[in-house]
Amino acid sequence: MIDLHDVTVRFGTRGEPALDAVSLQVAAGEHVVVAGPLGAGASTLLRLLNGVVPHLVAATVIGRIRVAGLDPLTLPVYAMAGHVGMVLDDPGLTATQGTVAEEVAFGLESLGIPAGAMRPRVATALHDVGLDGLDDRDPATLSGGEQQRLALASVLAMEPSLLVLDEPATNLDPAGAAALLAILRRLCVGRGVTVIRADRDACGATSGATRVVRLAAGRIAADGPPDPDAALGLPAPLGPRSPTGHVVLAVSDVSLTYPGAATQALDGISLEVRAGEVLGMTGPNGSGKSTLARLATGLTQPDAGTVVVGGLDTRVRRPARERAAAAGLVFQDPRHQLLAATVREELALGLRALRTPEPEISRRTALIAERFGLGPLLDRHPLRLGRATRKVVAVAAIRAMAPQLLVLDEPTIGADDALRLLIAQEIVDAAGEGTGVLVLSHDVRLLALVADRVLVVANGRITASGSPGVLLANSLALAGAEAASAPAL
Amino acid sequence: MNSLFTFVPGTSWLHRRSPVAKLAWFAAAVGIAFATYHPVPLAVVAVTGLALAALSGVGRPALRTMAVLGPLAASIIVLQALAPATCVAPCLVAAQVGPFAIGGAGLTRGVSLVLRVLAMETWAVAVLVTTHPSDLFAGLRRLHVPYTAAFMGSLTVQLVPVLGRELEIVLAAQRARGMSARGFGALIPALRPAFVATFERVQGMAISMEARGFGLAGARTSWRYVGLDRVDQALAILGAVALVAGVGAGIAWWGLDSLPVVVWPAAVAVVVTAVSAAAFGWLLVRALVLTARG
Repeated sequence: MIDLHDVTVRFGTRGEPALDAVSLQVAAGEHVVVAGPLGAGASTLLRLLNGVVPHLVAATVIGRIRVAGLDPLTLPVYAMAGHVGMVLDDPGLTATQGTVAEEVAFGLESLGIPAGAMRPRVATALHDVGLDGLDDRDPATLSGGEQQRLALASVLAMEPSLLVLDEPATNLDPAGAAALLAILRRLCVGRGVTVIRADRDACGATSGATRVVRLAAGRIAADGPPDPDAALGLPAPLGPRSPTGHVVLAVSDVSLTYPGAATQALDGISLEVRAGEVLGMTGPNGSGKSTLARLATGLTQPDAGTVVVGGLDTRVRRPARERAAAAGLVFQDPRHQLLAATVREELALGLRALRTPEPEISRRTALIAERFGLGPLLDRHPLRLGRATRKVVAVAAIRAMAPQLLVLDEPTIGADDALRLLIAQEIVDAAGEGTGVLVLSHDVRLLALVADRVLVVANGRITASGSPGVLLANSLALAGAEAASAPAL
Repeated sequence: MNSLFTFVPGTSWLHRRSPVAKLAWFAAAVGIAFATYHPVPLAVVAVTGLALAALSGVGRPALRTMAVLGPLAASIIVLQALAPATCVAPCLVAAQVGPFAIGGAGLTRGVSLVLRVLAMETWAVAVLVTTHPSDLFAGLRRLHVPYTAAFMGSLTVQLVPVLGRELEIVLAAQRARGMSARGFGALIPALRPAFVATFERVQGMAISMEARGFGLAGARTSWRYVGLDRVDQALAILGAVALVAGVGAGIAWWGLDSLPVVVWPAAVAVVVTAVSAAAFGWLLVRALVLTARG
């Protein structure tokens, strides 16, 4: 199905190649995971398979590539669409249609599938990814995880012989990730579909793959079956803490319904975060986590209930700098909060808004840059950095402001192990300095590293709470069991 | 808060009409707006569009859009009244205020230009806000507009609210960083990340579309079907007739570039120009102050 021979890819004219003399053969029906840290070349390798690189993302490619017997280097990308289905790693960018059903039907329209035959295929694809009943929703209003599912459904409906997925589970909750693995297993075993996907975390049998190709610095470092002993468990917490500080966030019986929405985004939520405490919150995609992040920082007001941050009710109008000193929010998508022309200015921006003296700004900026490893990037434009590095800059910029409450919305999307550990250490350090931290994430390994307590939220309600070890282990075990028990087609 | 030109779901008579009929009448409004400078037919088209929007429950978006266009309208009237590009005979001066001569013809042209913009704006709101973007696309296809052109048109309409949403999130992010995030001063730094986010979205969309066969040769099929009942057929035909008749009348009776001679009472000319200048000046000063504050 895939035959790469001595392929080298270079973006621009200088620097190291993104892929360096890579040769790889994948047979029909295989399920291959391409693993490796950020920048190892996994995304580039996948984008070669239908010609996105070099046709839509300019690059110099040397070597021979055959996919389903076709040469993606000479054929246009659309000519590969009948054979190769691709899902990119940032599904929020890819929806093109006004409704969910139309988004799934788009590829079928391109292939000339009659309208009568489209409907069952669209319905099946939406059912497979768990988006039943959302046919008429605007894709832009879906949560990050739901958008990921939609991107997958829109490719599954086309029934390609090769599925190319770049970090397909990065926005998904554990149950969603398990369902994804189940679908892929059914496609490989039942229909003989070939799957190749990038997964920075995958290494063991739980990846669901038949083979793991590990990349390092653009080269294949290892290639073989998954290691059965390398099943991912939960990491140990980063140091014990016993937070006993005062309450910095008190959410009392809060409810919120968005205009025009049929159901409540939040329904009677109550919680507290104390100084020095890390409260983790997890739950399915679309369960209301991001809404809670905005409420906790006063950017959105509830319909009912109260939110008190740093002792002050968020309904009381206060200058923006006072609110920012009380609570800092790292948004799910860092693009939205990078406002300055350089990383250096970005780190200083919030401090200037807080009217911090210039010498203190310089001192704190230098300190934060060093801690986050941003020294070499200080003069770069933040929006020219990669997705994961942008997130680091966003976290660093908020940390520099040292708010009483730090709220992080999905801080590890697109991160590899090293980056996850860096962010986790920063969270723990912030708590150690007396900051209350609220982490909203479906990354159970991050929560296991940092959280003192974990709340599980579903359909806008808190459904469970307790110690991270028990709750998160149950979550992982349940997800693994669902994936393993999925029937073949 | 909805962005300008965002679809508002509803069950009004206009919501239920086929996009084909609505597009025909929109084309008529635009055709007439460009066929004449005469303020009377332009005002009639603008008022009709506004009334239609109001009767369909979308009067508020129409008024909001008019408010957004206010500074542009004020600047047009001021510049045309005080510094017209040309002064066609008899080139009357409607009023003299100190060193400023308010030209009658320039004032008329300024008002006409504003009415022209409003005529198109009110009808655009009435049509776009009551039509789902997907129906708009299907309607354009039904009118045999080439697939790529229809798709790009529909996509552009969809991107307007996307840009609005991106801006809203960026402004919230500014507030989260302790910035005031109000007025034009906040808008300027917010535009860059909002445009970058939108640009990256467009790039992602292009890859996603082509990877799903956009551009393949052969007949495309369509998921969405737009019906055209007898009422819609009649309306579409009437819209086409209105387009031809309106453009014809505009050219034949009023002339493409002819401007009616309006004798402005001096007091009215001064008030119209002064109000426009005040609005325009206030906006400029406020923008400068907020920008300076950062």
